[in-house]
Amino acid sequence: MVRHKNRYVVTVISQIEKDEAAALILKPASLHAAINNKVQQLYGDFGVAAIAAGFTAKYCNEKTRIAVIRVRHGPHRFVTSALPCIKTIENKRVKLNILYVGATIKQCFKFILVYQQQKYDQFCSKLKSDEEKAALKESIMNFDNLSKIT
Amino acid sequence: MEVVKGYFDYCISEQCLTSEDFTKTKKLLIELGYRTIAINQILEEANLEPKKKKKKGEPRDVIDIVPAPIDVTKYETKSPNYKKYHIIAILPLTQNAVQFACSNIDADILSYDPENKIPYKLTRKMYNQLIEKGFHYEILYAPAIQDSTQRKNMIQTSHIYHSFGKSKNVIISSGATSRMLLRGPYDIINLGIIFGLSEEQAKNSILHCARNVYLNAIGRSRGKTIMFVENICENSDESNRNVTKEVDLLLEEDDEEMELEQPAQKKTKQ
Repeated sequence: MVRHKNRYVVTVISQIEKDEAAALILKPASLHAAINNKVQQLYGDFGVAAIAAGFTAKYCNEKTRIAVIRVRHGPHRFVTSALPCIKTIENKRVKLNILYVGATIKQCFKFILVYQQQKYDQFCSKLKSDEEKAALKESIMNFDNLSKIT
Repeated sequence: MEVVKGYFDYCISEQCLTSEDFTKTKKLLIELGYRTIAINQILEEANLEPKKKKKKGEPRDVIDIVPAPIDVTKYETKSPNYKKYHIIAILPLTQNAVQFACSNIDADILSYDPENKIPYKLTRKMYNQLIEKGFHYEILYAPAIQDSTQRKNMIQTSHIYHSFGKSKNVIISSGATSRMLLRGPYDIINLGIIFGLSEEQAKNSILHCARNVYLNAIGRSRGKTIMFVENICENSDESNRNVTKEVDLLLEEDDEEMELEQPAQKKTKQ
């Protein structure tokens, strides 16, 4: 049985002119729309049509601003090349940074876990009480969105 | 059996025939290099009254059926007009319809309407099942030239064909509603690349596969057919010459001119 190969792209969306730690709230569909628009601009109808099958983009975590994009192997090059060109999402000036491109969601998950832990440690240094830390951990290590992507 | 030769275009829309001057369209098609075309008549699920076959001297007529599964069977057996069509294409609009097509319908082409996104979920199994039954998958290029959304849908669908069945048994036809949208066969071969076809596949899609469609259609209309034997009245002189030519080629390959000048002699020699 031949299977479909996918690529999972982990990216961080950082908002320009804002502090590192500030949360960025986005609508679920807007990242998807932004990528589609940019691919349309760069590669035209062909690009949009090529990535359309099996394409999902999920914004996972508002605190660390991680997003995971799933796209078919092959046309994923359209997406990965379009990502750095995205400048605005929902009229917010943003910058996208690709952290990791993986072939399975599991590998991505492993990567994200380590990344989130790092971020958590960074954020923790500014906090004092244990309750605050626990709440932060709760919000950072929340991967509900991510499990929906598979 | 009529002799068919390439290039093929299996989806000239009916509108070309009625709204415009058909002779002009025909001339253009011949100029471009097409030798076999099919006129497309669409039969929707809603109006099950069969249309009369048009007689305009074109090689064959085509009909698209949009079936509610039960209706089609009723239709196949009852309608005498059904048999008059040379090629039958189906255009499933629901998951059920495409599954029914996999198992029961005897047709030649699985078409796709680029107005909408592909309305069913294709699987590798279904794709191969249909290929085994002799189906071909149709890609229309005229809508892809005309309009952006249709272009996206068409490209997406053709890429789905590519990922599920490596674009086996794909035919490219025009689906043109006006003369302006027709393109030459060589341009189509080049256009094939955006539909995920290699150059060879693209060429086959308007020559080899399209011929297979015709052969399958003949086979379908005559029940289960493997071989076709036909009585041909032939000019005896002509055949003699052919024989001589063959023999001659076997004997002495460099003597082609002589053979053309004196066919009779060579014959006697043999």
